[in-house]
Amino acid sequence: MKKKIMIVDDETDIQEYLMAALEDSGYSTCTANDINDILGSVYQKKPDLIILDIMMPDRSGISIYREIQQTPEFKTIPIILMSGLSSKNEFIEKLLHDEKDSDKVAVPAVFMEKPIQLEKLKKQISNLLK
Amino acid sequence: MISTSELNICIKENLFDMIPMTIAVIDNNFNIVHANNLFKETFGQWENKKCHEVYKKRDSLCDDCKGSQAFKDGISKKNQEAGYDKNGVLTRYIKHTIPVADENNNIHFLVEMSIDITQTEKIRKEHQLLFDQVPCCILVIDKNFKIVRTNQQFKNTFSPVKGEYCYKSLKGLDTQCSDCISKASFDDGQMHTGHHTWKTAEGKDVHFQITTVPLESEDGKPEFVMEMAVDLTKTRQLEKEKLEAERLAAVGQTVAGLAHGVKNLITSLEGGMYMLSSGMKKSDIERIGKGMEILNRNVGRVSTFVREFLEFSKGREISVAKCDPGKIVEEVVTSYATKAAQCDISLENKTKNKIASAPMDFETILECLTNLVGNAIDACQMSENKGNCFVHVKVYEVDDVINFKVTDNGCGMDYDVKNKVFTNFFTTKGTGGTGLGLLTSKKIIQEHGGTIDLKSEPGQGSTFKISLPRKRLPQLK
Repeated sequence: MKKKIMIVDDETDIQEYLMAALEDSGYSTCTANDINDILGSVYQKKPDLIILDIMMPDRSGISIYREIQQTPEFKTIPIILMSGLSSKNEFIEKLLHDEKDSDKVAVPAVFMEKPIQLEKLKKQISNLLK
Repeated sequence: MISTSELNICIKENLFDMIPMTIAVIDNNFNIVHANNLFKETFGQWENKKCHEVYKKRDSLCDDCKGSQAFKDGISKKNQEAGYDKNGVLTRYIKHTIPVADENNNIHFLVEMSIDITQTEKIRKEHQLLFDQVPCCILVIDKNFKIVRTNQQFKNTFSPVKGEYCYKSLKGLDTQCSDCISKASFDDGQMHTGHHTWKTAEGKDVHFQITTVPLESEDGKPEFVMEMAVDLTKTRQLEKEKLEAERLAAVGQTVAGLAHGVKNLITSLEGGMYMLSSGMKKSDIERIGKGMEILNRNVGRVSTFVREFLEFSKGREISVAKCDPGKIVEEVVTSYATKAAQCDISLENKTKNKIASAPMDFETILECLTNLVGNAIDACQMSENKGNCFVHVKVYEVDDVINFKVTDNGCGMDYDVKNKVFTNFFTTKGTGGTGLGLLTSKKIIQEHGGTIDLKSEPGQGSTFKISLPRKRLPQLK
């Protein structure tokens, strides 16, 4: 059975690109119906891995990441965070730990900087899904 | 009940010792022939001693002996002296020397009465030291604005000015300054602060922050005003450097943000290329079409992006003129009136009081408010509360700070979005915005020496406040 990857990115061009490229590599893909109800989408579509953009309108990828991480039944789903921001460490430090009320959450499995190197992304996915 | 005669006897017998000053009687050989108890307590044994031995602990007559003069001219004297008490400690006193003449007008005795002013003199000296050494220039002026006293710091900085009019000697004016804060202190008896540029002895114009303190006479009305002036040159220099550092930081952010925006575009372009090449490999016409579509769309975005970026980076020179901040608010409200009405949003100018004009760049501040009001209208349109939305704009002044406020009850922002609104190229409008609007606003405000801050709650709305301290506004050229 094909492994399912959920792609969450407001840029539909990037979303379509990743879906096409990952389907070409033998995965099945899906998107979130509504990022304000991410848990509903994850529950319904049951992805094996999630690729999550950080800067999106309405809601940031970090708050989505936090919500998934804090839900025990989804906690084990590997998440790849993706952003055009370059300073990975500073970024993760700031957004994961400098929280107003929530508990600390684990650092994401993989952080990928845009532009995405497709081969590297595929390698990371295959490692995470072993 | 004591009788008058008994009282007189009591006074005659005891007054000499009851009076709170030292008294000594001296004959014309300067021998002390009589003294009261306080004299003995202060200066010690006096019997069979000469006055200079007791007062000054010296063997010969004093150089400027007032007693000798009083014996000669028969006139009372009053002078300040310093001597040594019975323990050899320096003591200062005011001495009244009164000659006592017999019926033939010959003077055989002097009565010397002294008041101890050692403590008073010590405090006076401390005050003088404080007055002179405090790190600001101090001058005291009378009701005619003539300078009556200055401290050492003042004397070191300015030419001698005692007796001159303050406005003449410090500013070279022939009449009182129009914004004189000393006059205000004379009028209302309160402290005032203000800023003035004074000319120093070296002919340099120095900017001072001045505090005026009324010095009241016994009737409670100000008789003099003390002006305390702190040199602001260094503070101004630091403020200027801080502004420059903020400007440089904005440039740094711009470069970092540019990289971020470009990376997203490259990813989309790569996506288009992937769709195109994989479509060609698979002879999948639909995928080829999709790839072309993505490429076309993103090449278009590159053009918009570059155009807006150029607009953002140009126009660094702001053009400053005196303008009415209220007018800027009126203009932005007028320009958005139609759009707001179409979207069923109540857009109102909530300015209550007219505020004084200020040096600023009308066009760029207008651009700033236009950005903020435009954002507020967008936020209302994204709100679930459509139909009951408002955008309020106002300008007001508190403590010499001009504040522009744009408040809406639109969709508001969550914690993460709030943290990023001033980051370059961050947009909540998807591909409909470049994310440069608020950054441009921030840049304009920094160039005016001000700050912009934001309060927002998801679903509740947002308030953007621009604060422009008058003293940090750009100078008129």
